[in-house]
Amino acid sequence: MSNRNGEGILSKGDFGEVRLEGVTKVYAKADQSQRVLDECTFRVQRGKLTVLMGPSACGKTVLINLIAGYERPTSGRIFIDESPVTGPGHDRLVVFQETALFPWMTVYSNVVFGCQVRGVGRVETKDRAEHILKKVGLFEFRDKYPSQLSGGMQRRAELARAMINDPKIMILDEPFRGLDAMTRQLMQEFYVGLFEEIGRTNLFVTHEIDEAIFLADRVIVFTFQPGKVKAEIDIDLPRPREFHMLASPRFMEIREQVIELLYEEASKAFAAGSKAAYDLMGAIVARKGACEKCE
Amino acid sequence: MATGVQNNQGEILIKNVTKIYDPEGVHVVAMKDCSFDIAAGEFAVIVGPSGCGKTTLLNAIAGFDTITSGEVYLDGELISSRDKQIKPDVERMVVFQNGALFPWKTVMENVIYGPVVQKRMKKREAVDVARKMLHQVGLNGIEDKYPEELSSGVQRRVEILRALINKPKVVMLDEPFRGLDAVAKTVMHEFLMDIFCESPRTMFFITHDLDEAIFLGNKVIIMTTRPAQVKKIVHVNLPWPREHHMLASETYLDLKREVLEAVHEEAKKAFEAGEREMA
Amino acid sequence: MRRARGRWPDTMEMIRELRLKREFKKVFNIRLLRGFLSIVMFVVLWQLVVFIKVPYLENLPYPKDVAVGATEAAGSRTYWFGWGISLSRIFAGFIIAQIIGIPLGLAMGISKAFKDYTFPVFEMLRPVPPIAWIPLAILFWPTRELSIYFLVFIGAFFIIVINVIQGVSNISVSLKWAASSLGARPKDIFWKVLVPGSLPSIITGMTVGMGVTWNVLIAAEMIAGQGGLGRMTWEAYTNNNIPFIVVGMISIGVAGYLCSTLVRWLGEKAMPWKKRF
Repeated sequence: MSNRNGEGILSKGDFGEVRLEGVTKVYAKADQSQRVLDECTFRVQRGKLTVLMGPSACGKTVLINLIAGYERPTSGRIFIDESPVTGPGHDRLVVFQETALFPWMTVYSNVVFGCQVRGVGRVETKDRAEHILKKVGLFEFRDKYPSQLSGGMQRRAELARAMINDPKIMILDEPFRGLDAMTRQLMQEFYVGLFEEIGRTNLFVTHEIDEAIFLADRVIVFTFQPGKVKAEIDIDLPRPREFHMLASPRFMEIREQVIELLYEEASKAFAAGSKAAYDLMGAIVARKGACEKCE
Repeated sequence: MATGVQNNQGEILIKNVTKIYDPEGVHVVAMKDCSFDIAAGEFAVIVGPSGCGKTTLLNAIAGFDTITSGEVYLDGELISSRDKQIKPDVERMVVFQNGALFPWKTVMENVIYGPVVQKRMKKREAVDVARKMLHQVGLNGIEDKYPEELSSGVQRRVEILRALINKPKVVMLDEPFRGLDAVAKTVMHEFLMDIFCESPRTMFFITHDLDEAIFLGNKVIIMTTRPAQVKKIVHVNLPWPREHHMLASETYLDLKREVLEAVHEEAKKAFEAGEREMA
Repeated sequence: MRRARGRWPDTMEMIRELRLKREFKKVFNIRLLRGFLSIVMFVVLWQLVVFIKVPYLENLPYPKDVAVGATEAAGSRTYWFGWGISLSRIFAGFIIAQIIGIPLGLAMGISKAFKDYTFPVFEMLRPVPPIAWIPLAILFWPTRELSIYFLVFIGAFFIIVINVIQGVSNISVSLKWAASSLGARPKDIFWKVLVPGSLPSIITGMTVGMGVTWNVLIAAEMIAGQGGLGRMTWEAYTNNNIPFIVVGMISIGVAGYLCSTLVRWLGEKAMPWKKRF
C-alpha cells in the first residue's frame, strides 16, 4: 500500500497508537450499578484501520468517549503514544453518529473551526480548507448550511472538519448509520479510499458486519454487556478495497466467522432473558438445523 | 417443497408504466416505460438506488396512488392505468417498514383483525386459524402479549402473519427487515421462506440488502436511477428451500457479483445526480 | 388531450397536461373559494343574528356600523396616537425583558451553581399571572406609564428566561464535545456554540412572549392606563359606543398580529440556516 503525501498539507507519519489496559466503566445509578465495560485491553495499531464491532448497546460508544477523553474510566488506563489520556484534545478527533456539524455555520466555517480556535494563521487556514474541501468533493458547497446538504455530504463535511486538523487518531462512531444502504456503500468506498491514500490511525465503530470487514485491517469483536474484547480478527483482504470483494469467497468466509462469534453472544443474551432472546433462540435452532443438513 | 400455486393466481404484468410528479413546475420523471412481469407464485425482489421507482410500483399495484401512463394487470385484469386506479384491497396486501401493529391490541387481536372486520370469518374460526399459523412458525405463547412487549423481530413476523391470514393474491413487502441486525434477519428469512414454501403466493419484496435479495428471491429485478426502468433481471437458480450453506457456493457468489455490479453502477449515478441537484 | 389509438403519450405532452391542470387549480382553487365563502357566511350570520334579535346578542352592532366606525377611526388622529402609545409600551417592556432575560437565562443554563441560587425564587414568581401584578405595579412605580412598562416586562420576562434555559440544555452534547476536541476554550464554546445554538429557543421565547405581552397590555390599559388601544376600547364601552368596541378589538388583533409577524421575520433573518431548500 502506498501512502501519497497530501501535498505537504496532511503530513504522513506522526500517527498515534492507542493502548487500553484493563479499562472498566461502571455507571452507578440509585441502587444498582451497571458495568458497561469490563477489563478491556487492546491496542489500536499505528497507521491501521481498526474496526470495533459488536451488537448494539454493548458499550462501544462509551469506549469511544473514554478514548476521546469526554469521560473517564472507572478503572484501567488509556494511553495515546504512551502518554495517558486526561481529557479531549485535537490529536483525537471524533466523527459522531448524529451529525455534530454546527448547524448555524456554513460548511466552510465548520471545517475551519478547529484551525480558528487554535489560532492557525489565516492564509494557512484558507489553503488547508480549500485542499481538504476539494478532496472530499464539497468545494462547490462550502457556503451552504448543513441543513441544505444530503446525509452523505454532511458526513463528508464532518470528515473534512476533523481531517484538516491532522489528528494523530481519527475516531468514527457509526458515522454512516441512518444513511440509506446505497449511500452507505458509496460512503464506505469513499472513506476507505481516503484512508488508503492518506493513512493515519483510524478507529471505526459499527455493528454492521459487512461494513466492518470491508473497511478493516483488523476487526475487534466485542461481547454483549458487559463489553469485553471477544476476538481480534485480522482481515487479509487486499488493498485497495473494492466493492466487488463483497462477493469474494474469502469475504464470505470471514463473514461466517464473525457471525459464529455473534451467535455465541446471542445465546448468552438469551440466558440473560433479554427481549431479543426470542429471535436469537430461533436463530440458533435454525443454524443448527442448516448445519446438520450440510454435514 | 412448494406445492404449486393455488389457482395460478397473482400474475402481475407491468407495461410501459410512466410516473411523473409535477410539484411546483419542476417535473420529476420518476419512472419511464418500465415493463416486466411477475409470474403467479413467484418471489420477486426489487432492488435499486433510492428514488421513487419501487414505491411507485408498489403504490400502483396496491392502489394507493395513480400512474401517469402505462398499464398494470393482475391476473389479466387491468388494475391501474392513466384513467383507472383500483382501490386497495386485501387481495393485494402491503407490509411496511415501520411497525404498523395496533399497539392497543394484543397479538391475537391484531392477527384476526382483517378477516373479522371484513366479516369473512367468525371470531372463533379466525382465532383457530391464527393460533395454527402462530404455532406453525414457532411463535408460541405470545398471543396475549402487546406489541411493545415483544422484540422487533417478533413484531415483524406477527405483522406478516396479519397480512397473510387474509390469503392475498399478492404480498408486497417494503424493506420489512430494515434495521434488524444480522442475527435477527436470519430468523426472518427462515420464517419467510417457511411460509412461502408452505403456501406460495406472489411476493413483491423491496430491499437494499443484496444478500437478502438473492437468498429469498426467484428473480431479482434491478432498477435504474430516475427515470426508473428495469436495468437487469437476474434469475436465481438456487434450489428450494434455500439454506445458509448456499451462501458460500460458487453459484451464489457469481449471482452476487452480477447483482452487485449492476446496483453499484446505478447507485453511483444516483449519487452524482443527487449532488448535482443540491448544487 | 387526445392521443392516437395505440400510441403511448409522449413525456412532454404528459407534462404539459399536468401543468395545465395545475394552472387551472390556481385560479379556481376550490379551497380558496371555500375560505372566502366561509368569511362571507360569517358576516351574513352576524347580520342575521343582530337583525332577528337573538337573546343576549341583540346589542351587537351591525357589520355596517362597525365598518362605518372603522372608517371614522382611520381618519381620527386620536386613534392613530392610540396605536403609537400601545406600540411604544409593548416595545419598551418587551425589549427590556429581552435585554435582562436573555443573559440571565444563559447564565442559568450554563452554570449549575448560578441556577441553584436563582431558580427557586424565579420559579416561585413565575406562576403569578402578569395581570395579577397590576395592583402592586401601580402602587410601587412612580408613574402609570412605568407601571405599564413593568407589566409588559413581566409578561415577556419569565417566558424568555425559561426558553433560553431550555435552549441551552437542548444543545446536543456532541456539539460541545466536537468543539472541545477541536480545541475550543470555554469562551469559544460560549460564543460559538452555546449562543448560536440557543438562538432558536430565544426566537421561540420572543414569539410566545410577544403574544403574551399584548394580553397583558390590553388588560393593564383597560384597568389603569391613559391612552392606548386597550384604553380606547374600554372608553368606547363606558361611552356606550358599541361599534367602536368592535373596531377597538379588531385594531388590537391587527396590531398584535403585526408585532408577532415582525418577531417571526426577525427570527428568520437571524437564523439563515433554518431555511430548507
